[in-house]
Amino acid sequence: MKILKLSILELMRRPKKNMLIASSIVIAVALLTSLSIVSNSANLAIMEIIAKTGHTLTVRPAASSSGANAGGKGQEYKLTTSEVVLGSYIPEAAVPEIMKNYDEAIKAGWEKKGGLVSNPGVPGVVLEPATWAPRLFEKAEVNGQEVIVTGIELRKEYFVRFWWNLTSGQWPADTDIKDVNTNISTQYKLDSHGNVVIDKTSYGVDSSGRIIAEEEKKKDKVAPVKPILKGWDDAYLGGAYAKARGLKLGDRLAINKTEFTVRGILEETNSADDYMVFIPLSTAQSLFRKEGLISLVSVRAMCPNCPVGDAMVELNKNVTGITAVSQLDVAGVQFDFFNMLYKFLLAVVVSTIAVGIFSIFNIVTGSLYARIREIGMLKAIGASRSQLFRIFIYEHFILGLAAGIIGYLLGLGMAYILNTLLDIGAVIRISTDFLPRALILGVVCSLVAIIYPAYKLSKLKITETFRTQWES
Amino acid sequence: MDNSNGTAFLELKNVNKTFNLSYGEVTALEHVSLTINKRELVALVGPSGSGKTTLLNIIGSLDRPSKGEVILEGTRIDTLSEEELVHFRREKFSFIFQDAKPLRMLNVLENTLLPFNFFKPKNRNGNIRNEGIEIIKSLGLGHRLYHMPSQLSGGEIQRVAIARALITHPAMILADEPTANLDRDNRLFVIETFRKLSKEKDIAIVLSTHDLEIANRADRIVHLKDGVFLKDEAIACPPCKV
Repeated sequence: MKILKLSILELMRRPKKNMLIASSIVIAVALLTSLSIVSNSANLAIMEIIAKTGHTLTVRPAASSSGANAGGKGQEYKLTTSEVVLGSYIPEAAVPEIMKNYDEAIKAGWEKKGGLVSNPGVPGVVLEPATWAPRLFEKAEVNGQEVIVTGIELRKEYFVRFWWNLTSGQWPADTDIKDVNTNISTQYKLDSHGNVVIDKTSYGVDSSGRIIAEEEKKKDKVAPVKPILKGWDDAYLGGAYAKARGLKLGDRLAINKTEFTVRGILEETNSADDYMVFIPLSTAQSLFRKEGLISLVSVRAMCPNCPVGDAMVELNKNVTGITAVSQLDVAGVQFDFFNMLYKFLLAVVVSTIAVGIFSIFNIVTGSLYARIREIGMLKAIGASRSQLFRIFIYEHFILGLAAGIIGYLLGLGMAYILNTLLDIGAVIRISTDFLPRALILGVVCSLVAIIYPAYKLSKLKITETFRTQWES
Repeated sequence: MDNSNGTAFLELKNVNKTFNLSYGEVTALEHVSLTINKRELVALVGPSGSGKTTLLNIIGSLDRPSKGEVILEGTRIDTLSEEELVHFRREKFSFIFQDAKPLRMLNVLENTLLPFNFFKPKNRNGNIRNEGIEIIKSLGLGHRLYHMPSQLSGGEIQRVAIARALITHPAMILADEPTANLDRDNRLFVIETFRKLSKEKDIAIVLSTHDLEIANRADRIVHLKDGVFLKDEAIACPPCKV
């Protein structure tokens, strides 16, 4: 304890020099902390996206300019399925053809896998069918200000974007996942050879909702499709948009001079959805004179192992005029990119730390050798080699610990800057998980720099230190 | 060469010390034999390079002789391990340096008690802190107890070094040029304090000096030149000779 007190007093005696030593460690710790936080936040965000949308396919016009910002500059998270496609369209009439190709590709994918992976070898097993949710994007004047208005089929949209929640208002009464499932009845079965077969007779609702519905009507097997939104003038608002405009439930909106009523406000999802106004697809089509056209279709495959990647490849190969993107692939590419970026920056940080330790080593060595007379005196009055060594170690342990704490706090701030500078756009998640690592790094950097000179000095013969003193 | 006039405390027998330097071997001490008794104040006198510091180092077990023996109270100490010597030095010796350098972050009292940060005092009755205060007061620094070294004069700093040397109750104090940087009043104060301590507390004190006025106040003067023992002169009435 007495030696610890000496170490603390010694640290306080040389505040400037110790601050200089600590600053190198602070920078190293701050860099690593910020990098870890940003990387972790980005990876977590990607993992969430993969978890949410991993088995989602987006089909959009081939020449579309995707990824347009819906209004929340700097706040839009890029890895979402909420692409905005403006000025390019897919005819709804083309959707059955796309679905057909999709189904064939999925079937071929299963066959390639040797059968249904989720339920192998169980004849007659029924898989959940895919859900197709069309969207129509248009820029429009809402209450005198330009915003992206998106036409959707709410029940399907809600099913594809199952993470959607309302902060106020409620979904239409018939918006229920089970209802959606029962209305869609495409089934995948295994034949007697264990291969996947598609039962066309129970072919149900498609994204256009019309062609198949008419066929179903003829067959009198499936009830007519219910209106997707009960009111043609119902509007649902993205959370950020509602907040920015101060809109609440029941407010009236004028979209291109047509009045709508706010029926619900969506919880923010850090996606382009947060800045949009959602109205029924059919209303949007007539309001913007885009009857029979949609901007994109999101497809949610209803099985965890569905070969969505295969479907994407097949669609891009076989259907002209569209581009299919698997979100799993997008997220995977982003994941790989972030990992590569993380490794690169980690190498930079490790190099910085190495240089930092070397400079600390030089400062510390100079600082310790300036204390050689004091060391000789301490030895002469009874300090043992191990006690002297402990004085140096305690000093630098405390210094490293303090530098670790400061570096951690600085790193938290730097994480936000790094996130902005590198345009990563992740939501920074502050976690104390990195604090122990920051402290360990601070202490290790400090001790690595001190151990060798401390060992050498404590090992010096007493007369070697005295010679300097007594001959002065 | 044995001019002992009391109980033999430390004995050097035919001590040689050579240093291997880059330009060759240098002999610092040659065939030095010396006995130091308890309660004796001995002054080592000689020009620079005569071997005073080397002799002090060997007496205080800070260095080992190349040849010869160092015997303290019947125990040969030049063959002890470094670990044994640390404990040995704590019990037997105290050192005072020319440039006393107390630790700058400790006050006068804390500097005096500094050795007990490294080992516990043995066979002590009473409060060590109070004893430290008494020693400081006896050295005329009672009003400086909690002052920092930066607030002290050179003479006062040297008294702090003496207080630190006394707190461990050493059998021998070794002082290398302890009066070199002091004015005459302070020089005389230091040497008189040494005289008093050696007699009152049974401490053998060996100091090196260039100053004959100081040396003449010792019980004995040992003259060295070029590492060779020249003369061991007993002072009959040290204060009278001044």
